[in-house]
Amino acid sequence: MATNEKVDVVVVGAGASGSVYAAVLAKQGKRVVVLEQGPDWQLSDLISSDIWGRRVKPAGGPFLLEGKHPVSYGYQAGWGVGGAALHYFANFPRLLPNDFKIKSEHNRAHDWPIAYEDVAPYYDKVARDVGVSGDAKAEEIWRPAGQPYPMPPMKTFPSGQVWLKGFEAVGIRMVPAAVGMNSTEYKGRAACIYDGWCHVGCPIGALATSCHLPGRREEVWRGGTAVEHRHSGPDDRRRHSRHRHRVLRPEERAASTAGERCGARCLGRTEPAHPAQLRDRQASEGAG
Amino acid sequence: MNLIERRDFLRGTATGAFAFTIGGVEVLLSPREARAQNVPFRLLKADEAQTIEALGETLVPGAGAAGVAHFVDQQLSVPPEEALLEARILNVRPPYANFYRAAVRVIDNASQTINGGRKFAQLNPSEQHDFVDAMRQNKIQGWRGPGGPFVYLVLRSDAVDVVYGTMEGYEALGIPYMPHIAPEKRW
Repeated sequence: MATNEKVDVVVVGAGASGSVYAAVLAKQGKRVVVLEQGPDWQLSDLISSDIWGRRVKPAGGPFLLEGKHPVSYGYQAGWGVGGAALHYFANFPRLLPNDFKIKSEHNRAHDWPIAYEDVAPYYDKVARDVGVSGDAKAEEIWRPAGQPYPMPPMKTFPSGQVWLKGFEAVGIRMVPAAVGMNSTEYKGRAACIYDGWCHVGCPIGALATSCHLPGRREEVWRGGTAVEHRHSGPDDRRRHSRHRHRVLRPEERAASTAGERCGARCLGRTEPAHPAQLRDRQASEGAG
Repeated sequence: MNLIERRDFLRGTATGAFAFTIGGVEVLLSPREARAQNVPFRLLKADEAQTIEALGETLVPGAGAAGVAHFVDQQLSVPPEEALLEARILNVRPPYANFYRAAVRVIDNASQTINGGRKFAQLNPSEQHDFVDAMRQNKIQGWRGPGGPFVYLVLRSDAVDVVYGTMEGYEALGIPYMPHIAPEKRW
């Protein structure tokens, strides 16, 4: 279905960058269309199975497979709403100040025209918006001070303790990794329960995926039009029979804070937060 | 797909059962059941399936009886975006059947060259093991086809899938499954 409605911005791809970018623009009053060729995954689609987890990875796309340096990115890439951020381990490392001065300090590559200080406020903003767990104070041994992360670090398990002990023995100081996972409940999203299914998607929303990133559905994906999509996916018609092609309505842009809305929509009233509830729901849907 | 509701087909897939055709009627079976019932292959020729089964069994004991050949065959018969094969995320260009056929061809050609005209499935287990060991290290002379280590990777993944990719497989390994959303039934 075509539309002649004029918009301000067209975003191609509803992955980690595109969906967030579109949501931010929409909140600022821009009219945004997001084009996404893959399925519109919901959190409840993210089945805990290594085999089923392959559904959220690319298939049948026109990959660049030839040439001197063919790109092999299937494991890391995504397909559909959420993109690769549906199935990642959500490491959110920052560049360091000297990363911006590689040429000056190491005579390699180029210096950036900007400095760490220019981007630092945005690192802090993303951490707050997306939800990052970490220990900023501990990191500040190698980077300038900034805002604390909104959540404390994730737990360190016995295997991690082994590594810590080893590094300590050779005088290497370690700090908890900054990750886009909820160590505590955050903005209505559940805390991680450490069961290791990040790589196939986290249906409780503890992992920062574009399924529930700030205002994605609420700000960008409501209303609008849809066009027929070639894909016929492995589940129901609701998700797979349409190629999303959304146009915001003015009233949708006057939305309340993204995190609260997303939380209510994704995990509060319509999505059970507890795995057992999710299983029950899955079972009831399967029986329907 | 006409004789079986799409939703039922998909639900069956989630249980580890796939749509196989018996006497023109589609039924949901696990790959193991399909093999036990000698269900005809959809795409693979008999000798191709034989090679895949023998290779799978060499890579992961139990894969043959678990129906690795039927699993691969059934997955090759669905659209690429519905396939759950590891090939999907290893940058194999669809249709995936082309890769599997090329892999079988190069394996059997190499086996016949090395082993006096015998195809891989005709080798004894020790010979099969040695062949695979050389293949994975890219040490087979005159290999013309998909890279040996890559064929090893893809087929090993398929074999692992049918033997250990299920909830029963996790149990067999003593690994707690701990799903957020459990696959329907045991897949």
